[in-house]
Amino acid sequence: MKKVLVIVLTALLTLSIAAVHAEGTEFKEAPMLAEKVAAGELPPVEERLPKPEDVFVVTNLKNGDMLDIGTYGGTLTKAVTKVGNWELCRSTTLERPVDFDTTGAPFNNVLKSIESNEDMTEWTMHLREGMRWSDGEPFTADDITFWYYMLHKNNYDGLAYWAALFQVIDGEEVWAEVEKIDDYTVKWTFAQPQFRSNFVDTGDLKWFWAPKHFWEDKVPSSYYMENPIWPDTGLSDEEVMAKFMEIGMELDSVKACGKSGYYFWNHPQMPTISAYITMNEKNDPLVKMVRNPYYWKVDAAGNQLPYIDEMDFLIVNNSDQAILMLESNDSDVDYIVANIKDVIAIEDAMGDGVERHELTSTYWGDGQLYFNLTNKNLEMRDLVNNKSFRIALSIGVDRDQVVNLWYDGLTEPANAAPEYPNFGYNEEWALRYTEYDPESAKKLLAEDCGLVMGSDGWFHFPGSGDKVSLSVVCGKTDAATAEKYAVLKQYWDAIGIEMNLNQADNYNTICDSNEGWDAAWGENEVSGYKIESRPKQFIPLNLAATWYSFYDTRGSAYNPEFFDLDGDLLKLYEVYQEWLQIPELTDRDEKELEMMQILIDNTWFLAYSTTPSEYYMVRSGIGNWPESMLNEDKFNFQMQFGFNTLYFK
Amino acid sequence: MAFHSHPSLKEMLMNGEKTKETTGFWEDVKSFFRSDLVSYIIKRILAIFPSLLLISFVIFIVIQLPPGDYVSAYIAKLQGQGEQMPPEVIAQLREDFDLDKPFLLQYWSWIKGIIWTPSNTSWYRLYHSHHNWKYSFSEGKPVWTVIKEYLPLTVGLTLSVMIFQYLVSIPLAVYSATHQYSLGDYLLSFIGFIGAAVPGFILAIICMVLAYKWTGNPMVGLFSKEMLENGIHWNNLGEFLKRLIIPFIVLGLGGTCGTIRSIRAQMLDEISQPYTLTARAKGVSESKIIWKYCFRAAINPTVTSLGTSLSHLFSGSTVSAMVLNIMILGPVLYEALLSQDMYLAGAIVMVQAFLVEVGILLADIGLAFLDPRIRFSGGSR
Amino acid sequence: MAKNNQSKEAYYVASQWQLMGRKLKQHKLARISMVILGILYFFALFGNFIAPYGTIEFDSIYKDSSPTKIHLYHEGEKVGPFVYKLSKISDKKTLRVTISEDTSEYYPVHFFTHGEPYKVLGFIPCDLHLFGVGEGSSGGKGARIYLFGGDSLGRDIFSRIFLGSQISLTIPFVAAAISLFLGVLLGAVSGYFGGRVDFIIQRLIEVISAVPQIPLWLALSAAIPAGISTIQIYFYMTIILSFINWTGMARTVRGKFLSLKNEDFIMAAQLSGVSTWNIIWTHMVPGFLSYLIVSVTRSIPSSIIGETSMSYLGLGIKPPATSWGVMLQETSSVTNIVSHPNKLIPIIFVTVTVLAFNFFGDGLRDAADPYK
Repeated sequence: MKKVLVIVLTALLTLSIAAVHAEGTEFKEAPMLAEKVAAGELPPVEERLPKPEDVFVVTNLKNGDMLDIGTYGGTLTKAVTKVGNWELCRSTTLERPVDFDTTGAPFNNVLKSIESNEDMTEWTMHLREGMRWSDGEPFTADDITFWYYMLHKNNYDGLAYWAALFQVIDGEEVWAEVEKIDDYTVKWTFAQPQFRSNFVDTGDLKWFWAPKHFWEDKVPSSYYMENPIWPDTGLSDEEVMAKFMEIGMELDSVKACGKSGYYFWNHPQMPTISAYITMNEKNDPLVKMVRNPYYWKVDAAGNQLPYIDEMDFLIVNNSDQAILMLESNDSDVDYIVANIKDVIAIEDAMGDGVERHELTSTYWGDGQLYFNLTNKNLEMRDLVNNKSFRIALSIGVDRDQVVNLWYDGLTEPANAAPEYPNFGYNEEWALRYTEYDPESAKKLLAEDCGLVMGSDGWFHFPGSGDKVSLSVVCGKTDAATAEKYAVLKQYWDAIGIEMNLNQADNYNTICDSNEGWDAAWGENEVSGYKIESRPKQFIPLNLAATWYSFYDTRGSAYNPEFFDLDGDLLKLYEVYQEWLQIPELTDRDEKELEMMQILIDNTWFLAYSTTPSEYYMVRSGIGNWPESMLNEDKFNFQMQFGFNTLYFK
Repeated sequence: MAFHSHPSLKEMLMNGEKTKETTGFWEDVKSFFRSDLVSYIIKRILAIFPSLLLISFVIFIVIQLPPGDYVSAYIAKLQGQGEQMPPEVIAQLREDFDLDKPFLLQYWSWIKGIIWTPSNTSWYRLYHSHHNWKYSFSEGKPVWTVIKEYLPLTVGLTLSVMIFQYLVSIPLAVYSATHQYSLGDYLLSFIGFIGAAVPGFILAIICMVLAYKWTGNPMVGLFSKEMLENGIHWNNLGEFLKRLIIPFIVLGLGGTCGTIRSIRAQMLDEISQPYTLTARAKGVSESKIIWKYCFRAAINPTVTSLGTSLSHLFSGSTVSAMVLNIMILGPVLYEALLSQDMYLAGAIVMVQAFLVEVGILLADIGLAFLDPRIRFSGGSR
Repeated sequence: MAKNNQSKEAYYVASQWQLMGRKLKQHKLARISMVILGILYFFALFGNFIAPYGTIEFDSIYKDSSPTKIHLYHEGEKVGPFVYKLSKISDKKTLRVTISEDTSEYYPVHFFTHGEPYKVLGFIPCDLHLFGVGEGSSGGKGARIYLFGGDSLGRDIFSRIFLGSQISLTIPFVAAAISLFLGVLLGAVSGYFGGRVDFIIQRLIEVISAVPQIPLWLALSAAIPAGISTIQIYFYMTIILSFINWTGMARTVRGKFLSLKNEDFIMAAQLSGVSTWNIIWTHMVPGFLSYLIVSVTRSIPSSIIGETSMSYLGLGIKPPATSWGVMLQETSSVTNIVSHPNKLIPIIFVTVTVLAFNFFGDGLRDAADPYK
């Protein structure tokens, strides 16, 4: 009897093990990882991936193309110019909680699912069971709650607050609360209903970067804020800095320690859930990113992504050197910004060896000009608020020549309006006030604006007799920008208005202070796939210095010292508030078009050309590279090309 | 530290005590490094520091001259990438970086930290214990860490180029002087002038264009990717040497040409002196005349200008290094100046000034040693 | 015989300057350089006349064009020197732009034409240009004669070189003049008075020399306020350039002063009650003036390269003015040069100017040397 029991038990056991194995053998891994597993350095792939039903299976690229099943191996090299924080990771590996495809439709990414209750005051996020950080520790609800209370809400991370997580009620900021339901579920509770479009779909829920097991001994007591879940760590500032020293990060203050985590990809010491792990510091001459063995995505055949073993970034001094490296086969990829000549040069030099992929732009025209509507100089304020003045500056410029000089005729003359084929494109909007008619421009200035043409060839104000001379501020200080501007200036000189370019690094400070700028060119331009990505650039309230930080102050307060919103600006603001109140993102289109119409009717912004696209020049033989995409912040700019799905054919 | 007005090294040595007659090279060296010379050297080294202090003040003023500060440039960059910065965050950043304090206070706190940082706080004990060069804003690392990364290559490359300069220019200059009006002389003079007239960065671009056209590989940077990963070994040494060609030409050509011209002029002066005639009449061999007598005298002003040539190398190489993508201190300094990263910029300038001063001192000592009047007499004439 | 005696007599009573002049003329290279420099400066003076176009005449068709070909034969018959107009086709799909000559009509080249108005010496209005292209054979307009090709905004490189020379050739002179003044003043004071004054000035010189040049330039030019007129930028740049160069001159002057101070004739002057300033300016300075002039001339090349470097980095001259350094900005891209080598032409001008000054300075130095 006992013997039979043992046999049956053994059989059952074997069957169950076989069952587990059968499930597990679905997944395959890269050879370099398989070696490590065989050597005992890594757990087998089934244990590294989340539970089979929670694994993210990538079937399509973000633009809808089917994903080719790729082969493992290879190193992708890219030459990048000396960088700030974004170049490396933004191009490669950021993983958002909820991500978007190129139509703007959201899909769950890091989160397995997210749902709300009836009245949308509670949102529940489900995580993927078995998902791990790059050092093997599980990614659990603790990571999210710890991050929220110990790093973000208490501002230890030193960042602007994620607009998705608080609401403005009666002018007060009210923060959401989060609680852990179980290891893989968290629930957010808001005071008032939080629309999905404001919580999830705007892209403000950025990315999770703070593993609890890493940060729990790195939050000082000085930053502690009362919260229902986590107690005070009791650590002093010096102890925290010592901890950072231990892992090899020398920082000069505890504040810097807190801030270091957001750009986690700059620090090899920090665990990550991205497809690639950085191996050394940014701005080392060679930066390597190696595949993450715990990456939680597979393709339709069960291969653990990513395909490419390693990404190398070589730091060069300028874009020209990057092009040379591509042409001499030292690198595989180059990203060209606003220089079509380089694209052509590369194609001519490499022929079939290179492919071109376009990122079309979402800007409302190139070379945008806008004015300080709250100028302290009253005569100037009246002038720039007069629509005829803006029209005159628009029709006084020969856009055909401009387009040819700037871009060799490869773009079109246009005014500030959504470009084809983006949402809101309207040919009539794009071409209004684009005819070249300097005589009418002068007439408008003389008659509608009441300016007086002086004997020196410039217009003067009727009251004070001063020459009309605008200081146009621009943040780019390079010579190419000055040359580009000079092309426009000759036309404005010809109609008698002096517009001097002031290239200043600190143009933001100048604009904020409302001193010393009459107009701004080529900065803070209106752009965006749709308004939800960056309202600030869409609602041109940076026209008025008081509203410059509109998006940052969440529209909750503005400085009435300068002036109250009135007329169409007030109407625009009101429609925007209505827009915010519509629950479903897709239902907001009508209001959005209404806002666009107000912008177009008022011609607050001028532009002179459509925007040239940016290009990825890629060596042939790299698979799964989408043909073209939209260059847009919400889609994470270049990252949407999906470095984690590329492979060498 | 008191300021010293130091007499010329030569004067001092020649007015010193008379020592015994010596023979042999090492006895010469030993007698040369007499106690008063050693104390003189120490005094000269100590006198470098007040100069450095003054230089640091000058550079600090100069860095602060442009309007705005590091934070304004930083914010502008971030906002260009879509990050939103409310005014409170900006003000906080300014406070963190000490940029809201008045100018003299900033300077004082910086210099104080460099000279001596009190080690009573536990944090500083973990950090560098005595000298705090503060932080580089743009790199996010301590200044000294940044400098340490670039210093070896900078010093190594600069010294190599200087040695190369002299190795090349001396034989060419002597040949040119002894074969005056020959084809070789004219050719060398012509190349020399061109080299001195074309700005370094233009030469760099032309060299890269030529390399690209002839070999298809412009050799951007000193190290290929493979070298960065695995270091320099025997198998990629050839590649490394190939990549050194253009930097050496670009960085060294200007100085080489200047040196050739000056040595040649001096040699011509010396060769036409009456004593050469006498020596020839006495049967001394031509090469001995040229090298042992004329050359030793002619090299004098060149060695004197060693210090300035070092300084020129440091500053002149900046733009060329940027074009050639060589990671030396020059481009780092340029970036720091543009973004007003003042602690980094100030530190780099001080390091370079220190190296230049040390170079001058070494040149003076070397020159004094070379001058046999000092070596043998050691005393007053 | 008498003539020989006469020339010998002339030699013995010739002044220091005449002697120098004579020796200078014998130096072949210096003579050639003087001629070259003379030509360059003459061109700079009449730059507006020689250049057919202004500095900000943009033309999109002639963007990045190669030097305009001058033809003599149109459809088989000789019609004199003329050019064809360029036509440009942009293909938006392939991003290629094809440029070709439109041989349907020809545009004769005229001399002494009327063109862009300008002011001679800054105040005499004129619009005469040495050469230019007018209407076409069938009345068409818009052809241009770009002898050195067009730059990236379609401006004429030939014109910009000559107009730019007005700035590139004069800034070093002004900077040298300022350096000379500062150097002599401070060197003289330092050498003559000695002691404390000497000490302070020496330390100052040491500090300024020890600071690496380019960073100092950079930092100082970054401090030039924005949005100011070209004239003001010009003066700021001369001051910055001279600021560095005066140290060398001051050191030399001081050295000379120290050696001259102990001469007998100085002591005699002092005893006769000549004032200090008189002693310095009337008795001491002329003694080494020739040497100073040589110094100044030899410092000009470094100022030229300095201005070129600063403008190349974008720190100096801003549009609409131009200088050779500004034109060199376009050469910073290797791919640009490989396809348009004509953009390297400003380098030739810079090199020739620097060489000419170098040779001229050498010639002067040899001429001033009393031992030769």
